Amino acid sequence: MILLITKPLQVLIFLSVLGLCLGVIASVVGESKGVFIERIMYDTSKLYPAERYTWKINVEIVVDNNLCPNTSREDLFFFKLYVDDSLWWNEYNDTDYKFWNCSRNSTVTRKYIIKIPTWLGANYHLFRVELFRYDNVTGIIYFEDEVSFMAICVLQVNLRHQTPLSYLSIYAFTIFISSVYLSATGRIRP
Amino acid sequence: MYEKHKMLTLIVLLFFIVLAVWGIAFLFIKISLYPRSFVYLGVYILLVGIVLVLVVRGKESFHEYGFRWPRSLMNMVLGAFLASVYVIITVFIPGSLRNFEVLPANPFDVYMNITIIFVAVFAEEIIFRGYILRNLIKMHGFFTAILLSSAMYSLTYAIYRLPLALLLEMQGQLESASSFFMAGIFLGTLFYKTRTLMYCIVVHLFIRIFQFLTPLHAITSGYERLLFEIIAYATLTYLVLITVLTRKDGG
Repeated sequence: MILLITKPLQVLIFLSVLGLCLGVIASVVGESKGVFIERIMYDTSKLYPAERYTWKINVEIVVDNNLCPNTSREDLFFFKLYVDDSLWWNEYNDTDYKFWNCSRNSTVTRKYIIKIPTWLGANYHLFRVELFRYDNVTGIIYFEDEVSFMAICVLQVNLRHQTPLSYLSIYAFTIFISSVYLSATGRIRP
Repeated sequence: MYEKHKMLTLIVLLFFIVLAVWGIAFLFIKISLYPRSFVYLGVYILLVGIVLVLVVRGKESFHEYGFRWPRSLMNMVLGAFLASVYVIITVFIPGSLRNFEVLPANPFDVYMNITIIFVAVFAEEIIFRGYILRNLIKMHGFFTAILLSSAMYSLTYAIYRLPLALLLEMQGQLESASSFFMAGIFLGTLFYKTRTLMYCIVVHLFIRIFQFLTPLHAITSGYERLLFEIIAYATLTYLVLITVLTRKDGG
């Protein structure tokens, strides 16, 4: 702080160089874990109202099993998916989606289609994916990883839809009122 | 001559400081939403502080840097007029040609976003129009100065948005950054004619708030969006040239 007062230029140059260096270092990715959700890919759900009745969000989850390959057995896993903090899917109990295998030192990609009723309208939805490992020898379930993400559901409409029309009328009215004022006062003397 | 070189050095230094401070801020930007918002606010306040230090050390009056009131506050109606024209050209015309996307209401803290918009607009205008453009006009004249300051403004945004475009895979971030060059020309012209930052701040604020409060997005490609942004800023520059008289009393 004293240096900033006595030698501000030198401090500022130092900060500039430091910032540029840190900006480069910031791109280096961090630690690795045992079993973890490597990445989640999802799309923005878009639809015309009255066409369908559910938003469909395609979600692709990649799991990396990075545990030491000390045994030849495959690990069993399952997901719990939450939408807006409500349990939407539990593979542990579900009849269609069951446990799935992921060999050690390998990755598995799982694909899901999440359906949400449209009556909620355009909205952000908070998704949470919890990854569990099931030890089929002891029957113990281990919590491994958790990732949250926010997906957007948007509506596609044309100009005749009430939302664009109402906003357009507001802006047109603003232009009308302000142009009446500006034309009454003449050119602005700043 | 020495003073001229010193001033140019300070401007370039300030520009690199802006880039560097954003570089440091990116270290914290991925943390989570609220710390990120505070990082934004902190960065902008720090940058304004640096400009104020440079002005005080240069022993110049703030009046010369555009810190003065306009003759009539009622003229700020110009802000609402220009911002409405901007929104109609960039959202409603391309949207009526194709279609619109109705976006959800922003889930983040509205007050925090509005606060960031206010602080960001004040900081950008003080740095790029108040300090950089004003000093460049004194050294190199209007046309060179406005091109240089607009290039700096758009380059800052390109670097500011690059991590967002890469990390969050947000398409169109870089295209929209290049439209800031035209925004720099428009706001620079407004500052040159009015000699006060107040008009730039008010017009810029209206544009950002109208954008923020309109949950509509025209379905266009990045290049079409860029084209409409350029048309919008060119129209606004023309409107400023025909509606605003040039202020003559120094600065």
